[in-house]
Amino acid sequence: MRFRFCWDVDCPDWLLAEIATLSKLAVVAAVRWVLESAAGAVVAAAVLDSELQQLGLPKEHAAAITKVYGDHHQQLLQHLRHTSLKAGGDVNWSSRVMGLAVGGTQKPIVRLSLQNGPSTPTTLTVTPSQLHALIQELTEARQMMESIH
Amino acid sequence: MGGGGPTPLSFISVQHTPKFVYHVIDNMCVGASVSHEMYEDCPLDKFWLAVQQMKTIVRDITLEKLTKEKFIDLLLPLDQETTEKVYEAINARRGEISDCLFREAVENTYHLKDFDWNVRLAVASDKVLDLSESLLTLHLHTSSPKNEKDASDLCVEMTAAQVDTLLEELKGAQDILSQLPLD
Repeated sequence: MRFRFCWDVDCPDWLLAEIATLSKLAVVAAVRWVLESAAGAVVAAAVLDSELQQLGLPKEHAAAITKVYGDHHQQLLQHLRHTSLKAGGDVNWSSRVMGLAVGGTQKPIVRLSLQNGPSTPTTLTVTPSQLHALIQELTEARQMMESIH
Repeated sequence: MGGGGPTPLSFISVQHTPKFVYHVIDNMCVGASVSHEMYEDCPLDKFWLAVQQMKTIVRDITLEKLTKEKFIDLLLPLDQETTEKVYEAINARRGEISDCLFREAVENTYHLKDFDWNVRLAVASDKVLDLSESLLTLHLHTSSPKNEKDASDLCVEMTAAQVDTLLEELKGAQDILSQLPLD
């Protein structure tokens, strides 16, 4: 059977033989943990290499893991920072200026939508004066964020 | 008024009518109470009907659904001077009444009531040893239309970049609002 990750040819026999080992020893989970932990601690590749060998990992294995780590640790760190626990998750904002019927006239309001992942967006009405207050306060908050960083 | 039996408003004495109008507008706009004690000449059951009738008149004049001529017709038993005073009283507070009606319309939607925020420095997390990231927590206090279940507040945490994105969105909306013709 051909696999795309094997470049559209049969999976090599040696890998097939090791699949059972991979499953039993949860090696994938272990390697993942090593990479994430190292990236989260922002260790240099050389330090990771040395420490893995100290743990008993053969030199070639440590080098292989370290090579991957060295090539991708920045991306990995960015991903870990991005997925660090945040209340409300990642929100996408959008807004629309619309008319609200007041008797026979239309008064302008803003419909502000928040979408968290694939869930249905939540949309609420914001009056022009509230919008102004939000912008002022968030601008002040942004300056504060800059000053404490 | 304008044919048929006496309307509730006609039970408010002429000299008290202008004051009555102000009290009804205060009730609509700032929630001040309209007390029957000040209008004891008017029977209690007619008094509350007169309040509702005046509120309808105030709304209709502000929304330009009621012309001055029709308004005069409505208040026909009253003398012209008193009618003029009532009309001027409503006109003088048209802006305030209009804002009140707008607020009522907003309250019929799921809307923002209030908001607050705090900023903190996240030193580390379970995934990153040295995070050193400033985070804004924005609490949006919301309210639903009166007949619906109370809406829960929204809480969102954002990085500086995400706050910038939100600010850009809000400023875009503000730009559009500023280009709309004034009332």
